[in-house]
Amino acid sequence: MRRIGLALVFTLLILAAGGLSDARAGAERVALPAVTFQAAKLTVRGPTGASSYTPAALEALGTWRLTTVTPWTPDPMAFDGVLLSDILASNGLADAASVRLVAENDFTVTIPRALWTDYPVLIATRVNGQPHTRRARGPLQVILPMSEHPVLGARENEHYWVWMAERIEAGPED
Amino acid sequence: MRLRISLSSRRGFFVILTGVVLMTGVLGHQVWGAFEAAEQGAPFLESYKLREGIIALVEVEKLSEQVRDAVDRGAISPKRRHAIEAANDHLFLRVQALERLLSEGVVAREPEYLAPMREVQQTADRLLAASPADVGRTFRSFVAKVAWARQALVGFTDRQLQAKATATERQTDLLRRMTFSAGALLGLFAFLAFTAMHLLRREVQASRALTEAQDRLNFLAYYDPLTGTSNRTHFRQRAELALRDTPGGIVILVDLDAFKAVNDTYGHAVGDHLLRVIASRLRRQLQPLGGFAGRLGGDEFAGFLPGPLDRPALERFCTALLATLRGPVKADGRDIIPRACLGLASAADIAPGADTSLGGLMKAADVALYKAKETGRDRFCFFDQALARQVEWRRQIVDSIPAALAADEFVLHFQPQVELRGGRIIGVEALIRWQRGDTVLAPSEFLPVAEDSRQILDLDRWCLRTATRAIAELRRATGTDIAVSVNLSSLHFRAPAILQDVRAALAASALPPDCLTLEVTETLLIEDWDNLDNLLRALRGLGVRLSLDDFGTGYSSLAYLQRMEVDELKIDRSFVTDIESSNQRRFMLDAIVDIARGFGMRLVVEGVETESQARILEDLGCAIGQGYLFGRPMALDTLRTRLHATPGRAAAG
Repeated sequence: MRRIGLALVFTLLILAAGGLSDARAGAERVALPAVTFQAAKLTVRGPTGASSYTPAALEALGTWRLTTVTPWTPDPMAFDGVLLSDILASNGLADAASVRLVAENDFTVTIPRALWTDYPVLIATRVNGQPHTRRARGPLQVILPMSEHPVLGARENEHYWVWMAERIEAGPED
Repeated sequence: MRLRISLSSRRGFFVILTGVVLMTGVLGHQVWGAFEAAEQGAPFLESYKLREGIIALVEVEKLSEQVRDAVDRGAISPKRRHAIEAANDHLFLRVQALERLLSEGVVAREPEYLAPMREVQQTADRLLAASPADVGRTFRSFVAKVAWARQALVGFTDRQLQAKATATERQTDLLRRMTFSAGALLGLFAFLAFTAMHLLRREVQASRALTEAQDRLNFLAYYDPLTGTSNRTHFRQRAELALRDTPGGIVILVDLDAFKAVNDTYGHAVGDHLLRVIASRLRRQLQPLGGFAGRLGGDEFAGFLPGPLDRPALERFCTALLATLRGPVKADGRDIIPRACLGLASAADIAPGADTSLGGLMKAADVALYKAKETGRDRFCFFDQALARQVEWRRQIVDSIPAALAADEFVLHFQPQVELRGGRIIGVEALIRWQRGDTVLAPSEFLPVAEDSRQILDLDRWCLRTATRAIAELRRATGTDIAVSVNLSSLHFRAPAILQDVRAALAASALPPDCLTLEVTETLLIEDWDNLDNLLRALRGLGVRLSLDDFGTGYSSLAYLQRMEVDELKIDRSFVTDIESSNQRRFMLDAIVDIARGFGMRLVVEGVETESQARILEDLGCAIGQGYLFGRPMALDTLRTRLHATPGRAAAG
């Protein structure tokens, strides 16, 4: 009884102090120095129109760090970038049932709403402090908290890890 | 062919179990083989590789297009450079992804497909870094590498297609085998289930038949199959148990009158029907009172009533039972009126200290039944103290006859048989007396008992021996030629040893055979006429005479008379008693005299007591008389004295 009470108080304290939602658990807010990025552009088409972001412009939405392994790298790396939920919120897509991500090589995947509300889905711009590159699956790459939730790295979920992300638009249902 | 396997037998069970295990093993082996083969290739993985190969081919082409485009324009603008770099990066990642995928494959040979793409990439990088003088040469090299890579990738996709086809084929094979195995197992289990059900059904049927047979056996062991009532054994068991609970219980024995006649007259089917009806009537009367019935055998039934019941209640019951029993029985379109006698006994009726077990009660009831039958048909009789004393008396008689024979307690008295005309004694009838201590027992007191116990055979034999010897001596001593008559029980008809006895008696006494008359009484139920004929013929062959005693009291069957071919007829005393007053008697006697004359038989009239009787008899044509008028049965010495006196007609008194 006492332990449950303590846990409740602790949770309330965390929520009050950090104002963090569950979706962001595992990611931490970071302030990043300015760097030069490989040329890239992310276009988001929302109900009010389209906006294009360079990596630097994207980072202006607020940067977060997710330290995790990936399906291709067994050692954890620190990924910095912008939360997908923030990008969607900025473009009136926060309530979309799903969104479609299209990569430079025309690879397309539909991401259900549950993914970005349940997990901190990061559009990474930097890896271990360095600007993300195409050859390292950058310059803009979807990163999921795989270390915390290994199931996100399973083969059936691998297609969510879009690299060379180029375009975001409302999902086919909308 | 009938299945001979019994499912419940150890052998049957193991045969079936072995079959199932073998079949499952064979099918499992087949499926496992196909499964292992299918494991060799994963169609999904092969498809994935195929996809990556095709995309790689596209990306090689994209890079090639960008490079061609840039080279065609002569100079590489920053924008084109960026496009080339991006395309090259895409290819780089594709190669990496392919490499990762191929490392999951089983065949290690596959990385050779990656080398051309790496060459393409590196050449593209070199082209971007090349001085304008080197661009042409590097481009040619790039074009050659692209061709090589295209060729390698087309080979790769072919290979993957092949691998995918093989993997799919293996999976299809696996599926086919699994389907077949599942079908076969399903068939096997269906067959087993059917067989098991069939065998089980047969076994259940067999066991049911066995149970039925056992029930039937049980029924036969305890019940009379004809009437459905308890048989003797079961009746006794039940009665013994019931007696334990109600020591005052009453045993009732039921005997049908003339049942044999029904059987003989109407046939066994009717007889059986009659028995069933009687059994059911008996049950119906007993059951409301908590009693039960049983068939002891033949026409003997028994009932048990839990007691105690007072005498009037019991008498009412018996009256009702007899009334029920004599209800007409329909058989063959006619009504048979069964008549029965009841003998009853309960422990209270038996003398204190006597046997009150079921056996004792049954014996007592039997005595009562006997008594009831003696009294007439349709009667009942309770075993009581008087009957008990009678039984005791009979028992004593039976017990002491052998000793009495040995101790010469029996004596013979002789009653003269006299010619009515002239009064000459022509013979005597030997009559047995029992000198028991100070008292002399009359034949009526012990002969019926001896008849029942068959000791009459010994007594008759003794009489025969003693009488022949005595009369032979008398004849020698007196010089007369009187004859002697000896009574023979009809039991001798079934014990032909009498022939030997007669022969021996004649030999021992040297009495002329024609001076010995054997008196027999009518017996209605002669079962074996042939045997009787033989015996009578043999006796006549010895030269002795045969006499039919007590004629006129029994059935007096003329057919019998003819068949027996006796030499002499003895008219019963009852004909003589009122011969003076009854014309009817005289007419009958007249007729009998005629018959006797016709058959050539001598006529002896018994019970002649007065002169007038003797005169009437003489007038009717009777030759010989016997009775108090001519002398009571007398001792041998008295007879001798009498014979020494004048052979004229004896004085009256």
